[in-house]
Amino acid sequence: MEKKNLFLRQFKSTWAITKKDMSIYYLKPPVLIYGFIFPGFIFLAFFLGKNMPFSSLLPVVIVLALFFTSSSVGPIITPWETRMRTLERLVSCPISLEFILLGDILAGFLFGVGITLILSVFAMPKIG
Amino acid sequence: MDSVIEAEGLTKKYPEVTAVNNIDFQVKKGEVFGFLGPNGAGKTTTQRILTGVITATSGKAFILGYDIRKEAFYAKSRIGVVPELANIYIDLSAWNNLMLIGQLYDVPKENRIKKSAELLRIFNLYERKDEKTKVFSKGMKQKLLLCMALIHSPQILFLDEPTAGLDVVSSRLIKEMIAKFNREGVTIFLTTHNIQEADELCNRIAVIDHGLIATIDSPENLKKEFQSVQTIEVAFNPPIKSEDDLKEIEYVNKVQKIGDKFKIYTNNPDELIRQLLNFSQKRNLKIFSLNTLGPDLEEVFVKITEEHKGWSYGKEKSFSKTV
Repeated sequence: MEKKNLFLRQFKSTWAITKKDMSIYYLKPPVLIYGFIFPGFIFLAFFLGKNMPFSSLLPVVIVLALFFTSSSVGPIITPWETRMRTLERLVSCPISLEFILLGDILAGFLFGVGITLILSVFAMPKIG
Repeated sequence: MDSVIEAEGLTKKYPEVTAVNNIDFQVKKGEVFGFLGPNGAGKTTTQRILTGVITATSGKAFILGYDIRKEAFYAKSRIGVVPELANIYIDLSAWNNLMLIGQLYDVPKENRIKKSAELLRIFNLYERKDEKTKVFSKGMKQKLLLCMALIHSPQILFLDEPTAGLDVVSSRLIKEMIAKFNREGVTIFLTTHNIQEADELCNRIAVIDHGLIATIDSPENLKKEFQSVQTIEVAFNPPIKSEDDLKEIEYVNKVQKIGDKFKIYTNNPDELIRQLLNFSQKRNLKIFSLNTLGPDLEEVFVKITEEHKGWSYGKEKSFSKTV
């Protein structure tokens, strides 16, 4: 198999892993806590008791959401899969470890981008 | 190509222990090759090296001519793996587990759907294909793992303790399927400590202990080599109280009481039967039942691993045998 085809085939497998991660891990309690509740409470810590207009704090919400959501999925997947011994199942498939990790990173990246985009869409009219 | 699996000087060292110590063996195309050994012997480590899950400290392994280290992608594309512990995705349905693995092996969508349905029907899981597998029993998970290993029609199937902890019906179904797929041309590498299973299924057996291969041969040849572990089962009426009386008879190597019977180990069953007749006449006992049994693989295994313990201190290298 040519190198280009080999790369494409592995990338197809990477996308399959990303889709699997999206369907399994996006609604796991640690992801919800770290991705939504944690940034929400940090935002409240900034917001409450300060006489700042809500619109000027919206960029903070977006930055917090981007930081926490994009880093909430990745750290869950590898330990979870190692503990459940599903990582071993993936490693025995014809896909290199780098492409498996890429699939996991992609799932975290898409989660962060997705949530941040949703927040941005609602926040933009208020920020102006 | 005659040999589809080749291990050359395979060694796996951990800081505290050498799990696999310079082993060599070959598995021929179309055979069921049993890898038998006690717990901690190095069976699973060997299988994990051969399937590319871990790398060997030294030595080489070839799967269908592909070096598992350098050409892992090509080797892994042609093998199916059933690991020891069930590692399906419990948050996915049986169907989605199969679809995922099908995608990872690049099985075209149409074939993936057709093959998944066919396999799930064979293993009686089709009706529950849409349920999340967290509700599946151990036997169902094991059957699903087999389906996942077979979805891309592999040429070699690696099975690690495939029937461990299963009920008789599931275990029998899995064994029947292993035999069926082997008849269809799939080479099977069966890692087990279940001697009966190895005896029933395997063309050849490698006995591994302390990371060294003690012997490789067919089950029948192994039994022949160990004629000294032939046994006679005898029951007397009225029953005799202690096996000590039997131990005094000539040609008796060992006596074991099993229920109301005695299992006597000997290397001369013919002479022993004569002695037992004399014994019963002298004591005015009736022989209730008398069976001669060939050496069973369990005894052969125990004998090999017992011998091996003695050898492993001084002659480790010379004990490893290449076939």
